[in-house]
Amino acid sequence: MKNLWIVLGVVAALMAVLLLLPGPDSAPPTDSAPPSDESPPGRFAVTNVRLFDGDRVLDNAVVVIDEGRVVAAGRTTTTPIPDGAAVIDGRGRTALPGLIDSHVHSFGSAQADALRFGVTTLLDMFRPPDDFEAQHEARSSLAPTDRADLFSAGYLATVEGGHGTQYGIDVPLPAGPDDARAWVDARLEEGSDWIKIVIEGGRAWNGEMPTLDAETVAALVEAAHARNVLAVAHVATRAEADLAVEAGVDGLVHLFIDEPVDPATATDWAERGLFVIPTLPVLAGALGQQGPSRLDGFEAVETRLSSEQRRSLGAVFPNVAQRQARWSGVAASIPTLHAAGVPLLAGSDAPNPGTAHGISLIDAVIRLHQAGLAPIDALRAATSVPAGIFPIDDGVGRRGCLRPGCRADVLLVDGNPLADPAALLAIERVWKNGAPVALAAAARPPADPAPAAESAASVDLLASPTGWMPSADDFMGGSSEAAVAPMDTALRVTGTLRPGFAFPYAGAMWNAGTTMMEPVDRRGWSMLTLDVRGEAELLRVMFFSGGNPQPVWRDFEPGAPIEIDLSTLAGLDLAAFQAVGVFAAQPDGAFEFVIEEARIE
Amino acid sequence: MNSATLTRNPALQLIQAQWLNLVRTPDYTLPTLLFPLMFYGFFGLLMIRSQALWLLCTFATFGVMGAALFSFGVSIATERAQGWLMLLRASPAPVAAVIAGKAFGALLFSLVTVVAMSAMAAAFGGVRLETSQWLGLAGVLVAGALPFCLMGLALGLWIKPNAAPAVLNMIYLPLGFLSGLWIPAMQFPPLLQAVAAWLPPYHLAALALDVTGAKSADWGLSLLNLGIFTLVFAALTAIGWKRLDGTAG
Repeated sequence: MKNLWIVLGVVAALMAVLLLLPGPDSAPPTDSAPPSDESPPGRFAVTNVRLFDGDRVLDNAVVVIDEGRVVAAGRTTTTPIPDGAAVIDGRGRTALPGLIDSHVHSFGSAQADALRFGVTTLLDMFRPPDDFEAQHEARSSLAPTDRADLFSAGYLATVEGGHGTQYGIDVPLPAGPDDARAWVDARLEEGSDWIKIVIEGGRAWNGEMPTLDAETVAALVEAAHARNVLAVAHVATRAEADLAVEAGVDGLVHLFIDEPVDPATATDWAERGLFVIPTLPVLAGALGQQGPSRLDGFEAVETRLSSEQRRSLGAVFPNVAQRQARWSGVAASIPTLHAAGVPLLAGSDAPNPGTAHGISLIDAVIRLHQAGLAPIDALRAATSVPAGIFPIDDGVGRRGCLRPGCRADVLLVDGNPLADPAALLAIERVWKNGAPVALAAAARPPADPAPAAESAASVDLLASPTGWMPSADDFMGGSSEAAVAPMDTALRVTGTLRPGFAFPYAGAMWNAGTTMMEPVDRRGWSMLTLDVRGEAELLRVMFFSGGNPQPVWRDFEPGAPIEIDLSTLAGLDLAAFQAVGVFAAQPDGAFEFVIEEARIE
Repeated sequence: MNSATLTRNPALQLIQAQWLNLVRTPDYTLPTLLFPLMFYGFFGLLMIRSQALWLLCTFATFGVMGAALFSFGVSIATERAQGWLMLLRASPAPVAAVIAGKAFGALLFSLVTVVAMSAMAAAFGGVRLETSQWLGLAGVLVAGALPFCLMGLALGLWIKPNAAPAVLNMIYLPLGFLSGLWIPAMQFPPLLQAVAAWLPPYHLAALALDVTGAKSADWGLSLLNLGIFTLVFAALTAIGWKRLDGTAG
């Protein structure tokens, strides 16, 4: 029966060949390897997908990503999938370039919050330039990140007491037309990407506030253009827009609200090459319209909102009811501008009341469509249009597009936003620089309220004076300093308040959780009682909550006990309470005060 | 186990006969083996170099399918014509052993095809897989040859012996093409894509693509498709076998 042995020998030889076939060249990387670990990191293809490449649509397409960039995008029949690429079946889904929000103010968790909703690039229209160096480095990198890239105007140009000065940020002011060049150069030196000029007399909101005069605006625009950077203007009324256009600005970062845009004006703007960021979400909020919560897909994504996103969405502008009638005029301007050929850019102006980072840019696209733009034009307004206007191509990979060479900021949504942009809410995946982004919001504090016994009883914050820590802006790069000295049942706070930081502070802080700034649920709390004695003229109590870096504060004078009703503090999130602090506010110089009583009930 | 017991075991005898049949008819054996390897060489290694892994999976499926269809279909049809099947049925030899012998031959062919093609892919296509994936690919495809053995058996019992090779080719080649074994199905126009999703070779290839990590598959769906396909041809085989009694020819 030697034939049988021959057969067995042949089979054994075949198995031996299989065992000897080569394995992957290099050992798998030691970091967390994805399930399909034979594909090189970051190399994948989305197949059978509807592709919006920022400009046009392909119905049955393949997008191939490698090393943070798009390497191929095209029809399935003509686009080979490279060896070893992980394949993601995009059937029934649409791939889009990461979205661009052309009007935000980025603080705190904004960049992460935006990214979870597919907004991969933020064009900020006013923030302090403190971290621009780090921001510039981050955005010109293709490394995986959990934050959207940020471009910014930096400080805005306004006047003493004008719009932009009310947020507690120390804004450098242009002294007049002659100072325009120096002011613009200082901004560019700080790392501003363009110049933003505020023209806001308050009339649109039935008030009055000081604003820049026409000569200074014109000088600022000229100075910006001399440096080859864009000059954009905040306006709220037709007259303010006319002033800005006359001065030669490149774009308006809001649509005015006092009247609709007429076709002649739209044609004039188109001929001048003016672009407009209508910021429909913030105008909707200011004119008494509902926010993203009105949308069908909202509930499905609600759990992905951070506490800061919830806070800003839940906030409301004062006196909106009396302005509701103006909304129809704003909406009517959109088709007029589009028909004339004025480029429209989607912008949210988050985190203003009624808006939130990320989701409100999706709302901006939806509102552009509802106002009369075709879905594809509304989507272009959040991708290729801003990418063609703002200086956001850093040479590493173009934005707002999904074509070879573009940065692999990719959004995969279920359904077809080219039929209805509301499908943008059905986000399935987001990639930033070719790396997947976790779509869930950071772990929220436990939803269960703290044990009732604890929350109902009054908490003596001085019971353990060692629970307090000194807190001053030297931590943030300022030059104020503070020290604390526990006494028997009180706390002595000493230090020096020095100007230098945008927001000088020095004092003492008490953390509600066991670690610094840990959010804890303190929904049972209602009242803070404080008794502070000392020399300072003005003290400030600040509450930190919800991960929001901007505290909620109240100023008070030392010498007498005060009570603060926590329910009156708009923006305080008791469900994620972090810390409370007592700080010297005025005057600059050395201070000393003693906290004799600090109790919350 | 000694040769005395082996000689007495008719099943092993018949299996051995199959082996001898294959070895002694190289004019049939070699083309059947070489045909898919040649195709893979042209398409997977020379023309579309970047797709060596993907095409390894699909052309190996193609090769396995061919080995199963032809070793069963053509030989059964011929043996039916020669009256050999009738003789076997009349003899005390267990008929199941005849089938088992042929199945063994087909599976051996499948294994040779997969291993040879894998070696080509590794040597010339730069394909690198974990040992478990190489073994998984061979395992899936060798096991996946069985439904096609049944298909070949059923066809061999039904079609005219003279027409067998031509008819089998008329089924084999279009089925391979439409299942996306030559050109990936996702490069088809939508209508053909929809057709491909119903074909058994498409699902066998999907499993092969899954074990090699080229594209993840829905195992439940693919196994269901292959299972139904197997049942249909098992039924056709049973009816065809009964039909041999009276109207064989």
